[in-house]
Order: sequence, then C-alpha cells, then structure tokens
Amino acid sequence: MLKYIGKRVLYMIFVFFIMSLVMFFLYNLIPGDPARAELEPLKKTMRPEAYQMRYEQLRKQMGLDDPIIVKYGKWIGGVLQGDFGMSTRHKKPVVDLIKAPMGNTIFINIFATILALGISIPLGIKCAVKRNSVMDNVVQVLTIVGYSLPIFIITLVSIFLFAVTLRWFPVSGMNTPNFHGTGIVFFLDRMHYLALPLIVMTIGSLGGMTRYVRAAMIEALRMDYIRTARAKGLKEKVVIYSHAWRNALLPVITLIIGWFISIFSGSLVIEQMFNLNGMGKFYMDALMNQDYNVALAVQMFYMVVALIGNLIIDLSYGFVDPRVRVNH
Amino acid sequence: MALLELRDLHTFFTTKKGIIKAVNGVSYEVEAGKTLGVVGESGSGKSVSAMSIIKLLDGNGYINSGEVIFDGKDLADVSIKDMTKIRGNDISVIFQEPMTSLNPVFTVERQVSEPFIIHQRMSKKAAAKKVVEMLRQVNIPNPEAVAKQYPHQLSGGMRQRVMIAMALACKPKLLIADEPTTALDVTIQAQILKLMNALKKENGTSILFITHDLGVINEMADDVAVMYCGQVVEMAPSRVIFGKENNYSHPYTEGLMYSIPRLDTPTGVRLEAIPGAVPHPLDLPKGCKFAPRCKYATDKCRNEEPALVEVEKGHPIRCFYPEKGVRANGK
Repeated sequence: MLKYIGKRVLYMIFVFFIMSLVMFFLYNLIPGDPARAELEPLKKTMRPEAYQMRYEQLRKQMGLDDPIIVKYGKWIGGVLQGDFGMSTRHKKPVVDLIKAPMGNTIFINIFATILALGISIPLGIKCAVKRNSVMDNVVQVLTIVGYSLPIFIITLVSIFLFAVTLRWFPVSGMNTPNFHGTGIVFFLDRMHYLALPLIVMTIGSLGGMTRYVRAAMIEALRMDYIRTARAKGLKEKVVIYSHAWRNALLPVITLIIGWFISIFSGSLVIEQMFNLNGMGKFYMDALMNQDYNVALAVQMFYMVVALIGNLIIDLSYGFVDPRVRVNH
Repeated sequence: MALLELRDLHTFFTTKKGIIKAVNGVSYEVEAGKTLGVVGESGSGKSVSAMSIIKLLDGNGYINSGEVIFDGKDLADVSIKDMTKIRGNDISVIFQEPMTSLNPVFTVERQVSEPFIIHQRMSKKAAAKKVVEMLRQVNIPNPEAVAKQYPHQLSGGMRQRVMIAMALACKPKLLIADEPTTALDVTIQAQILKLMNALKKENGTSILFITHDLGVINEMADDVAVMYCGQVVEMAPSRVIFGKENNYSHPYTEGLMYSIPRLDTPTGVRLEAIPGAVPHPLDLPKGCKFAPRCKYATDKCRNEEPALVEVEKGHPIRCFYPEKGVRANGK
C-alpha cells in the first residue's frame, strides 16, 4: 500500500512539473507588457527619453528580457517556496490576495456540498427502494428538469422570486455593507446573504446526484446477495442501508469525493451573479485584467487539487471495495 | 406429523401483461429430519413454491391463497416483519449462485456472524468465535484465515460452504436448498452433497431440495415431488420413483428419467429427450398442461385437466393413464 502511494506521489510530482512548464509557456505566449502597464500612469508626467530609460530599466528588473527557460526557473523556484510573485494589478503578493476568496469559496462550498449530499443520497435511496411509486416518479421528473436547466437560469429565477419579489434574501453580496458585528451576529448576517447562492448551488447539483444514487442503488438491490441478506432474517433497513448501500457506494464514491474536492474551486457563474468574492470570480477578474501571475497561481492550485483529488479517489475505491485493494 | 406442509398454495406475480400463476395449487410435505426433492424444468414453479414459504418473492409476487403450515403454524398469514424472525433462524436458504450470493464488500466473518447476532443476540466477539466453529464444521481448511477473507478470494465450492455455514448457523429446522450445486463442478458437487447429508444427520435438519437433476435427487431425497407448470404432477418416496418394479409414473417423470444418460445404455441408442419446451405461463394449454409434449396424449388429455390421484398409497399422479404398461400398449 505505502509502496503504491509512494509511486503515485512520484508520478504526481512528475506531472506537476510537466504541467507547470506547459502552463507557464502558454501564459507567456499571451501578448502584453507588464512593464509598460506598470509605467502607464507615469507616461504623461515624464519626458519621453526618461520614460524610455525607466521602461528599459523596469523590463530588466522584472526579468522580461531573460530567455523563457530562465524566467521559468525563477518562477518555479519561487513557487516551490510559496512565492507566486506579485499581482500586477493589486501590487501585492499573490499569496496574500488569494486567501480571502479561497476562504469564502471553501466556506460556501462546504455548506453546499453537505446540503446537496444530505438531500440527494437519502432521496436517491428512497426512490430506488420505492421504485415506480408516485414519489419516485415525481422526483424523477423534478430531477430531470433540475439537471437540464443551466445554473444561470436557476439563479435568475430564484433571484427574481426570493430576492426581488418575496424579498426574503438580499440580491447579492456577502455581508450587509459596513456591517460591524463579530461572532455569531456576523455569521448570521453572512448566512442570510449566502442563503440564496447556497440554495441555487444545491438545487443545481441535486438532480444529477439523486439520479446517480438511485441508479446505483437499484442495481445493488437487484443482486443475489440482497436476497441472501433477506434470507438470513435481516431487517429491511439493514438490508438497504448496510448491504445494498455499501455496494451502491462503489460507483457513487467518485462523484462524492469529486464534490468534496471541488469545494476549492468556485463557481464562475454563481459567484459572478451574486457578486461573491470567491475563487471563480477572483480567477475571472485576474484574466480580464491580464494579471497573469494571479491567473497562473490559481491554475497551479487547481492542478494540485486535481492531482491530489485523483489519488484520493483511487485510494477510496480500495477503501470501499475490497476487490480493488492493491495489497492483495 | 410433517414439519412443513404446503396446502393448495397459489403464488401469483402481477405483470403488465397479466397475472402469472407461477405456483398453481401446490401441496407437498417435508417430514421432520427427511429430505424432499422437488424436481422440474426451469419455470416449473419449484423455486417460487419454496420461496413462498419464507415470502422471499420478488416485489410483484404474492401468495394468492393456500396454506404454508410450518411447525403447526400457518406462515402464509405472517407479516414480513415477523418473517424476519423465522428467516435464517427456523428456516434457512442456500442459493444456486455461490459466486454472487455473498456480499462482495463484507468479510466472511461479518456475513456468517449476522445470523448469530440477530437471532441469538450474541456479541460480535462471541459470534466471531462461532463463525470459525461453523466454518470448521463445513470442512473449510484454515477457518480462522478464511473468516477474515472476502468472497472474491474464495473458490466457488468454498463460497458454497460459507453459504451452508451461514444457513446452518442457527441450527434451522428446515433448510431450503435451491439448486445448491448446479453452478459447481461435479467433484465439488459431490463434496457439497456429502457435506449436506452429513450435517442433516448430525443436526436432524429437514431439507427441501430443489433441483432439475434427477441424479442428485436420487442421492439426496427421501421423497420426491415432480413439478410442471406450477403444479405437482407426481409425488412418491424416492425408492419408488427410482425403483425398477415401479408400475406407475407420470409421462413427464418418465421423460425426465429417459433423458438421463446411463452407463448401461447400449451404444448407438439415442438419448431420448422430451420434445418442445415448457409453455409460457401466460399461455397455458387447455386440458393437461403436459399434453402438447406428451407422446401418449389423447383427445381427453387435450381437453380435460387430470386431477392428482393416488394410484397406490403415498403415490399420487396427475395423469389419466398412470399405468406404464397400459399406456405403452396404446389406448
């Protein structure tokens, strides 16, 4: 087992470097001149020769004239020490800038994930057990509608319904402007603002997951060992939630863990529409403003999350399914 | 008194195309400490009649009428909830497919210990000890190690032994064996049958043995019930059915007998098979259900349904012409 993990980690490191190289080169292909952008405000106040000199100087200082491989070396050296460079837009280290949106995204996503799993798993199981009942049919229709609707439609409709018409929740933002509370008061205010995005995110992910759980569960309930479990005299609850669910979990586990990993990556659409300061919006803003150090850092972060996530998914397979455990 | 008695049992399945009468008026008895062999082709209702006893039917199946008297009590009226106290405790089942009948994600120990924990309220630890004991009883080598293994690490024969250990855990009065050796190699089959016979003698368990293999019945059963299209067509002690001086039989039983290859058949003689196939349960023939495939069938057979009539004591047959000599010489 340890040997397997060690092998996988080595492989991950290899992929990390290849990917970082590719991404760095790609970002360098994008036209743009950070030195000129930096000096742009000073242009009118300086004489052309002085400006040109200052510009050359800055290019050198920023390392813009170095061969690309040297630039990569400098950058990756910094990255490995946790230094992703400066944001050209905010004039602050990328690492300091990324903290707030990442915190927000994780906070929102943990709630959304727990809500969605907490609803869709029991609902999927119930539907599978009571297959073709009225409840199952209703849920089937609702989930296919939820699954088919794009998230921005759900967002617009719920903003109109709950924020504009009913006025239950604020339209956008994360806190009341100029709010000065701490502790539980602050938390409640934040939850009031986040309620609508959370509802939308939950609804958006409910459909697919419920259908997936239902299908896996129906498959498991059909197996011979379920009959054996009943023949033993086990109560129906034990048969369903222990014997069947443990087997239905095998195909579902990828999705569940995938969800938990995705709590780090924000939703572009939802964060834009509700004006939430999360990872998705942060990344989008960086790209729009040609803030490539920030964009590159976010991409690198997503890549590491994906690499670690895949390892966790593979390990979790062995955890739930003894047949794929590597030590046998 | 018989341990189990089915009286005129009707088990139906509702489908979109209509009601399937899988078991249509079946009566048979299993004596205490004896083995009843139920034979028949696929779709004859032999498994469904047995599963009706503990109500282990698919979602759309139900007992329409009839009685299932087990130990003096009618199980047909018992709710599913109360049935869980009987399943695995008084009545256990061994299924046909050892490959898929064990749960792949639980260890042998966990699966075999469940009957102990639910029916005898044992602690997990005490149950685990009993598991090893049970595994040893069914001749599994190195039971301590096997208990910690998962089903995919065991061979088919071993898995069936585990199934038997699980079924016999609470020393049931009745063991329903639903084609327990069909999916196994012949050598393993012989071992499993021997094991079942030994355990039956040891514990005094009655066995309801379902199979389509008359050879296996001959080896296992004290009594035999032959089923066709959801009905019993012949019933007799197995020494009568397999006996040389048996004067009466149902043509279907006769056909089954002839279709077994024998060592003493002269060379060049073709193996006789029953022509045709079991009719679809939604499209049963008028008259005797076996008439379309029967070489002795007359117009009477095709129009009237014969009743189950005792031709000699303890030997009922559902046929107008049960006497072998008579029907062979023409009507």
